Amino acid sequence: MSDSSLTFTRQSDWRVWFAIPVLAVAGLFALLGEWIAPYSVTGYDYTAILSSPTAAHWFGTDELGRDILSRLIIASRTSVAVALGATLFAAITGSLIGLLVSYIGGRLEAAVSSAADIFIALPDIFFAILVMSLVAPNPTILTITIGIIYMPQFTKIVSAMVQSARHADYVTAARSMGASGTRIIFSDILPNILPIIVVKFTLTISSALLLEASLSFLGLGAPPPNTSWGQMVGSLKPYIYNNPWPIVFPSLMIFFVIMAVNVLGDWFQDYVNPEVRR
Amino acid sequence: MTTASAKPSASAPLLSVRDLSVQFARKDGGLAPAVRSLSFDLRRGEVLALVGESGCGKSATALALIGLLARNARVGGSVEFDGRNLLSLPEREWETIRGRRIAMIFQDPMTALDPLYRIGEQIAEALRRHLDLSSVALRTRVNELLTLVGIDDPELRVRQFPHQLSGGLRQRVVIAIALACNPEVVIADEPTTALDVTIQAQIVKLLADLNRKVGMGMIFISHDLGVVSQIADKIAVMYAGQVVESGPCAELLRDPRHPYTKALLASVPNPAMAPKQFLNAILGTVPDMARLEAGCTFRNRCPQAQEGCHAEPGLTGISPSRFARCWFAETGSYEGMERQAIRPFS
Amino acid sequence: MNYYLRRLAVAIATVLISSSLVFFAIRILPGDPVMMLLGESAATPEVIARMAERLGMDAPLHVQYFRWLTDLLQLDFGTSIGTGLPVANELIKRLPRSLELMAGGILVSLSIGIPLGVVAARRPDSFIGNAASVLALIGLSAPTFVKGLILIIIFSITLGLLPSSGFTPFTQDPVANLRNLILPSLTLGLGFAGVVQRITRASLAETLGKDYVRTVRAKGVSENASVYRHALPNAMIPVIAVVGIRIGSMLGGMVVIENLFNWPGLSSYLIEACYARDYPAIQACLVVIFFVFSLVSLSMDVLMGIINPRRRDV
Repeated sequence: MSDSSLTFTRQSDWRVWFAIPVLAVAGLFALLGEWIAPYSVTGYDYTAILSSPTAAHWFGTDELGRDILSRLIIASRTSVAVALGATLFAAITGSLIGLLVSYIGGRLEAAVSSAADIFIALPDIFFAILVMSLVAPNPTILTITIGIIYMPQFTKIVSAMVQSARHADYVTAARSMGASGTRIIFSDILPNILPIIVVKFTLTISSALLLEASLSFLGLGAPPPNTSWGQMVGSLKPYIYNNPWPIVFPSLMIFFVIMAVNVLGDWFQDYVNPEVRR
Repeated sequence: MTTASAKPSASAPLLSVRDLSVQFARKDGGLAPAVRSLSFDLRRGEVLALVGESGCGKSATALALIGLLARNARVGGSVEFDGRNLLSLPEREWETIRGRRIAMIFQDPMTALDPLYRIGEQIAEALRRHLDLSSVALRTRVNELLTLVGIDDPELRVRQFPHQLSGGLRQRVVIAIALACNPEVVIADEPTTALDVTIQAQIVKLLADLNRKVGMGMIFISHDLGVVSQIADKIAVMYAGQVVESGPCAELLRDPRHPYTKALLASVPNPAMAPKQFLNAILGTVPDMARLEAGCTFRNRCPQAQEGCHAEPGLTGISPSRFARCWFAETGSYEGMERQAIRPFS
Repeated sequence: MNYYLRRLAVAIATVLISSSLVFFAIRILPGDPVMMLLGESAATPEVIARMAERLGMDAPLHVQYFRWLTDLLQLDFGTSIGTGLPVANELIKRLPRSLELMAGGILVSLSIGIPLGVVAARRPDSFIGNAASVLALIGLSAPTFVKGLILIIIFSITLGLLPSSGFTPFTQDPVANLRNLILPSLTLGLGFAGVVQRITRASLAETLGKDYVRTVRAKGVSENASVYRHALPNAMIPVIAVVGIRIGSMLGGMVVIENLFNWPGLSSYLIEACYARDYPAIQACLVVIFFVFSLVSLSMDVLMGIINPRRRDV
């Protein structure tokens, strides 16, 4: 019988073919940054301000005459790093707290669960705005703030999973064989939770990218000289009536990367769901 | 063929099914057969029972007769009604027939009614769709119908929602909806299967009474020979998408000729059995219709199977009204058996 | 009854807790508000002390909290540092505008999302069905400001049909007000329309397979009538539930939109207050936003509760 997991259905085909190249490009930009950018970050060219795409400047120039393509490449590092960092932070600390709290159980767990609920219910952007306007902004603070915002979701997932796993047969079986608590957590519970956490991970990256972009757009993200895609869009916004072209490129970049992450997450969800595989 | 009470029988049948076949197109392009070649006639006022296990094609047949098969169904053959072949009707014309001249009673009363509308409204919908009645006449007719199906206090029930009624009551409402416009044919698809045994008996009796009183033709689909025996004039036993035996009810039950029919009858739990005696289950499982082998479809489970069964038997006429799809239907041996042409029983 | 009381209690608790969180965040986080307001240069001890007093930040923390809480319960939202006027004035002016924008967004998302969902559910393997779903996906994934910018570029800059910013009060000139409302509502609604489309499609597809729809068709009712009179009303119930749950994301999107289109609502006031480090305004604004959010969520819950009892059996 053929291994159906390797045969993509027609629908998932396009998903993977679209998502992976986009993300690869974004990753490459983020890693290589200045080395592949045609112009330097501060290369002001006052002769060509806010120009549409030309041979010299493939994506045009911004309000200070800087090459958009180069800035886009360099900005990738901040955008990707913040989103990735925040998600990792949220996933790791959230999961650890979830594990700890559900292991202890009782009132502590109930309290943490309710607190997490409140956090999850309210829109993420407000807390971010609050914090970023209170403290001196820098990329690290931004990353941690966004991470803290998404942490409760991981806590809840892990907590719920541990709860249900606690009473599961395979845990009782392991216990009866004399396995210790930590061993049970790491070798029995975690592998079952992992697919769900991975799915949540991709969803969170998508949200974090969006949040960082929105914050930077509003001017509350990482300040210059750090550039991020959102920040580029924000600073070009007053000039769209002069020439709409420059703003299109960083906007599309954000759009495609977020969509790629979403699509990949969708694909992964279908992949781990045995009913959808054919 | 006659039963104790004289049934009106016009010379021309009400519904004439010839070589009905239903297949479902699969996503990978293949076809999954559900009904292979079904033929029967239904006369006015007659109750024909289609009996068989799940997977034999009964429900597909019912849906084909009312034109509600899924979009990926491919139908063949003909269904003659009122001089027209229903299978070739455009949807618009189907909508004038459905509910008006051919109606259906469904299996599960708990899910057959829209939870958001009152009972009276759901019955009235059928009336409004086909008849031009004043609101007073409408109300009268709805109350009439509720009384007809044995629901007490119709004034109260009319205003109630489905979730306020028990399963038995809901099924009566479903029957009322089916009978609303006085259809000529009523198809009952396992109308008692989802009900408690005591309620089952009530509903079967109700349907039998209604058939006598109103005189419509009824196709009663079931897997339960016991239930069927209380209401059917004729029985057609289905297996693997075909009729394997047919004939008048009493006669067929008294003297079954097809091994499958015999096995079905034998498997009915009998109070006269000695305690701790094993039930007579039919060994084996229903064949996968997508992978039928040549020859008699019952061969693998038949206690009488012999070499000759590698050839597919046609419907053998045992008498003008009795048919069975088995080489041993008439005599008991293979020699001297001629293949009879498939003729519809009537 | 009990259920509603409990929900109300939860809603109130949510508002209180989140507002308190904001309160403490302002005072506890690194970055002294006083210093941020004054900047390094003007910071002589007297000036600092006076500013601290003005902000009420010279008192011990629990005293501050108590004062703030009692003020709040008397609907005193504090005084703006920038203007010196009560914050409540500005809040009252701006709240209806944000509500108007939200209403527009909900209207857009339902009028686009539901029909697209119906199409995708009725003709799942057709071109138009797939197109509807892809459109929904794009609307979902595109960041709010990207959608807004694209709409501005198309309708304001290229076609010159609609204004990209500005605001006229409804009482003054309803037509102008609505003209200004179109692009922001579209932007806000398109994203949510994607969510609505997906849930409508899933819900309707499931409902179309239900037995009672088949009963209706067996009565001779046409396919269209069976969809719009029976399937769709039943299918809408989970849609409303999801809308109620996700309404928070719409509130979040409003922040960017009010900024992008210069729509003078609550969120843009919040952003302005953030730039100006106007802490009382920030605080009060967030309280009101959280309150509106909880109120909307609660209303959705109540709505669900009213419709729900009928569906207990299905």
